[in-house]
Amino acid sequence: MIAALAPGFLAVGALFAALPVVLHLLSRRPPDREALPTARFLVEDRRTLLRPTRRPSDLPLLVVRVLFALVLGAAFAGLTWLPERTERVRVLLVDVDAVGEVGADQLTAAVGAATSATSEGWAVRTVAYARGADGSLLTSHDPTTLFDRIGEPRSTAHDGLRALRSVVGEETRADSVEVVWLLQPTWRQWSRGIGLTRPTLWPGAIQVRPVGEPSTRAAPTTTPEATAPEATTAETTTQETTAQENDRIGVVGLAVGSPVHRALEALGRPAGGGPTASTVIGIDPATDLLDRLVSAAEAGGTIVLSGTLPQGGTHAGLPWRPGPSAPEPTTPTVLVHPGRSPLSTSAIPSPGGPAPGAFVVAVTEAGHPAAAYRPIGDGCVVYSAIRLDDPELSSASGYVDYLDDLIDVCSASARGIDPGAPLDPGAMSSLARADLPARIAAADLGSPAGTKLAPWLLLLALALLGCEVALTRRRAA
Amino acid sequence: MTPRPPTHGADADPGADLLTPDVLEGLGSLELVARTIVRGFISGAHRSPFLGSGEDFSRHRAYQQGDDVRRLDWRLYARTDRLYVRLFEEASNLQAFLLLDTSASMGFVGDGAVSKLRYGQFVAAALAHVMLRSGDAVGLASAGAATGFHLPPRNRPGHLHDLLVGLERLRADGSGSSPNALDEVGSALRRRGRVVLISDGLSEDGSEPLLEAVGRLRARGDEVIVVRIATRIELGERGGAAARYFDPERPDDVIAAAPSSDPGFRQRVADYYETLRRGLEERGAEYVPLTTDQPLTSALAGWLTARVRGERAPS
Repeated sequence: MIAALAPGFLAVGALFAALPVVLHLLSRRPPDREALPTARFLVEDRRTLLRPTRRPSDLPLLVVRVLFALVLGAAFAGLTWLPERTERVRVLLVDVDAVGEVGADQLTAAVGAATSATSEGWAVRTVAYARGADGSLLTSHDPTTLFDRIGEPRSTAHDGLRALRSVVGEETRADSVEVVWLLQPTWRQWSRGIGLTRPTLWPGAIQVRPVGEPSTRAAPTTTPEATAPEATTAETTTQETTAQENDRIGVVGLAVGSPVHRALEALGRPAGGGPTASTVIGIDPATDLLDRLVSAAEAGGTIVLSGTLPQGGTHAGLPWRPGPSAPEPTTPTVLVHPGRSPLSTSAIPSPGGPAPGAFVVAVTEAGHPAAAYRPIGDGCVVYSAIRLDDPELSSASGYVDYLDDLIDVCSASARGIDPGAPLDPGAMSSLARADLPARIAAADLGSPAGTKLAPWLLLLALALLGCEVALTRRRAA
Repeated sequence: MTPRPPTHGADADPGADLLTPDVLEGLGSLELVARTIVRGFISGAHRSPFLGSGEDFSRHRAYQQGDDVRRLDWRLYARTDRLYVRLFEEASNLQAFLLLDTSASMGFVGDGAVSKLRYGQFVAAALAHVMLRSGDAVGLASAGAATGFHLPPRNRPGHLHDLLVGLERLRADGSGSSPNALDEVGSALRRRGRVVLISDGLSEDGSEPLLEAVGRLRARGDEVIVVRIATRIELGERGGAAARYFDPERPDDVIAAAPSSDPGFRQRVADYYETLRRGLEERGAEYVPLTTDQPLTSALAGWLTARVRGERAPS
């Protein structure tokens, strides 16, 4: 199969190929001189001079010029010969860093179990990853080769997804791919911003399988109420947890897929599966305060939400209604609760100002706005002037730092989370993303790994150019 | 007088048609070409097709305009009330000139395999061979920019080779004048003889000067044979594409035309050659039209056979 990176160049090449054909047909050269001893008996016909003449001797030149344009267009189109993909592959993504917590035997056993559980007709590819002693990301198809090379810091979920993508992207035989992720899901592996970047790094669902019990389990900030199982709905979930001092953090209107939901994912606090909220604090869209907030935002003002929000609101979530038109850009700034310094986001590409669709991250704690559902101390109100789910933003170099700063500023006590504590169900679901397709086409990942035809086509075009020059000179001679 | 074997006709060899000009061209030397042609239409020893006014009576032939009235057989006329001329075996010392037109137009190849000049060389070589076999003295002249006398009429061992070498040296160039050449050749003949003009018959001044020159030769009793050589394209029998045409003898006069879409072209050429044919026959000259795509053996055989039988070649 042949794929083209820029198919438009094929059309451009075809257009240029038509050019010499048209010129050839339109050319009106005077007819050639011919000797004829009985020419005196001819009657002159002036129309002969105006008649377009077909020049069979020029046909090779015409063919060469047409081929040159077509080949050059094909070369710039980036044609690639792709081998046929027929294999169904199950990828075992193995976090070798889990050896430090569960031991090599347990990890090896987990890999073996996952391998044997593979359905018939599916090939198994093992992608093991770990951080090396120099901090670089190591990958291998054999996890045991990385056991002795594990260094600090430990690998993160980002590392795993990057390793997965790079290895599968080089797979040339796989057509359909599904992934099983063997790791020890603790906060140590968590990457801030993974909630938003996860679909970009791997566009399919992943079966996340813990390889064993974590050596240290700590949830110092959660209460029994916070860890109690909760039935969730697909449309709307409500989370609540308690602060370190039994303060409750109410996250209102966590409709799955809502801006608030995604904002929380960005902060590493995915919604869903959390404890039942004991207190629900919401914003009534009908209140005068809401209207004034919306009006102020639409006018381009910077909103600082602080104090006590209206009580008894609906579960409709924190509303942010984009204005009819985007206001004039302003300096992108995140303002926190009075008493804290503004957080500049100048390093992040931003349309500036309250752009349409900008998210409000407003999580309240005991009536005070906060940034996460974990205890965050005195809380803050965050207005983000940028779209947290902007695809360009999620790949920006300063994006993760931005999120880190957001949490650092707004949730001072969040630093106290035990990295060995298991990920909560929301974070787990953020990694697994069951809402994405279970199997994806490997050909859609990364650049095609086939044979690139462009260099050969360029060589052919050069050869044709040489032929063209030779034919032109011969005709001129 | 050398006794001649009985005449059985000069029918061509059945395979003669295979000897097309391109095949002959592939043979190489003119000597081999001449022998091949002659072998094709003269099987064994035949009587000479060149009959003249020698001592030995050959046969009678119907009188034609231009025949010498002194050859009329009055006794036969008294018996039959018809005019016949008496034909005699040609005397061995008859002088003949092969006059080959070497003007630039003779270099035209057209759709044939060889040029008109090359075809004429084949014809001249074959006729030289036949005439020398008949005991005639054959000379060679060319009508180019100037009349060239290459070999005087002779009949001696090795003369055929000299004639063929002389023929090979001829090149088509310049604007020729066949009428002047005919006059000069006629003057070179010490007595009545035969002049074979091999030409395309085209002249800047039309056919009249040529006919007048032929008439002068005929007036002094010389036998004149005009072998006209042309190509099918020249005759308009095969279409020429639209082009700017010029006469090789007048390259500066260019005319834009398309012979294939000009139906009058063929007729005008045909009229010209018809005028030439009539003029020649009126003056008692023989006219042999050939085209360069004709197999030489059969073309010459047809003419020579007719000549042996006392008929005129078809025009």
